[in-house]
Amino acid sequence: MKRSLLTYSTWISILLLAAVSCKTPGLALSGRKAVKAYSALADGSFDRMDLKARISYKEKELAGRMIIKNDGSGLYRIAFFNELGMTWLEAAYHPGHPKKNLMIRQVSPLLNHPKTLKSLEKSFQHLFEGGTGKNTKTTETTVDKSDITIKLNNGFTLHLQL
Amino acid sequence: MKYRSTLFFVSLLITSLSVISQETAERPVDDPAKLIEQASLFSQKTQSITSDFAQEKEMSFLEEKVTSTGKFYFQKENRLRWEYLKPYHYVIILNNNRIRIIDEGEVKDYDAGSNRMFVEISGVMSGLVDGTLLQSGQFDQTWHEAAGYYRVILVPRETMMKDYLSRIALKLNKQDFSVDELKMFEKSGDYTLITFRNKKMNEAIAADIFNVD
Repeated sequence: MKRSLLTYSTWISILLLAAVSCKTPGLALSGRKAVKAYSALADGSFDRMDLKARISYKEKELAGRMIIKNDGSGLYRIAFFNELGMTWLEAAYHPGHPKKNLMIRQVSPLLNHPKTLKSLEKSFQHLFEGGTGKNTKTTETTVDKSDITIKLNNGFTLHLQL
Repeated sequence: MKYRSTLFFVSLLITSLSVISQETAERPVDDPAKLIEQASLFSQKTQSITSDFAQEKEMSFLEEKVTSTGKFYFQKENRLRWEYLKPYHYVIILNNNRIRIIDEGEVKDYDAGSNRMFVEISGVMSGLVDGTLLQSGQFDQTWHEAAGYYRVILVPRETMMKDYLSRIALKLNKQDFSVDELKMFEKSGDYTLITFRNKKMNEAIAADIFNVD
């Protein structure tokens, strides 16, 4: 009885993960925690998130911690920095802003290129606004992980781990 | 009566603050070159350093401080291991021109050329801890002293370093010139403070902890 219940709940989780992941383009969610976190990020029902983050683009890779704070007025403050304390990015994201969603406060020269910043803005758009309705990617549904991956058409990848 | 006791406590507070202020007052060092030489002598005698560290990153933008703790290992020549234990296990090993990062068990190897900024920053940190950086000419230096320590302000000369750090403030122990505190300021004014505790000099360190093969 216990085993069948476990199998049943595992299948429900897998189906749930697949459904959520397929709904949002360019997005892969691995694990129930990731689904929950993504949902909170997309609808703004969080105060603060402390994530491990990795950005890969054109054979470059930047990794570290990303802290996202919701200031309660529809603005998200984002800080991305490496373990030694060097800041890669400090920015605010305004969902639905008519001109520019991502307002940069500080950025490392390694990220400070118009195309890279545009890709970063798109990734945050996927994260905070549920994507643009294009570019659906396959989804991993391993339940023991907790990863959110956003991959754009140009290869730019934002990988977040809870 | 109430007025008298208030006055007494205020006087006591002012006196205490005055004493504390005198103890911590920093004054310019007359002959920094002499101290740089002494620091160099100390670093020549230092073959290895093991220390605990606490790291605090101030982020005014988020209005918070992020902390981490871990162990630091240095072995001459050019072998360094930064091991973060909290909030998660993350290890940076620098062995000559090779870098290994172990992120919660996942191992990634790099060469110095592919991750130059990382090498620069790690090199600065090991150079500061073992004292060799003070002689390198990479920074303009200002020295101050107070009871028990020297305060050295380092302003980078190289453009690449300036992109990341506006200055570094070091607190050097007066007894052995070892680094008690390392404070790295970014252009925004935010800083990362690393405090070293339980330092052990010249104790044997197992060679395999610097392994990058």
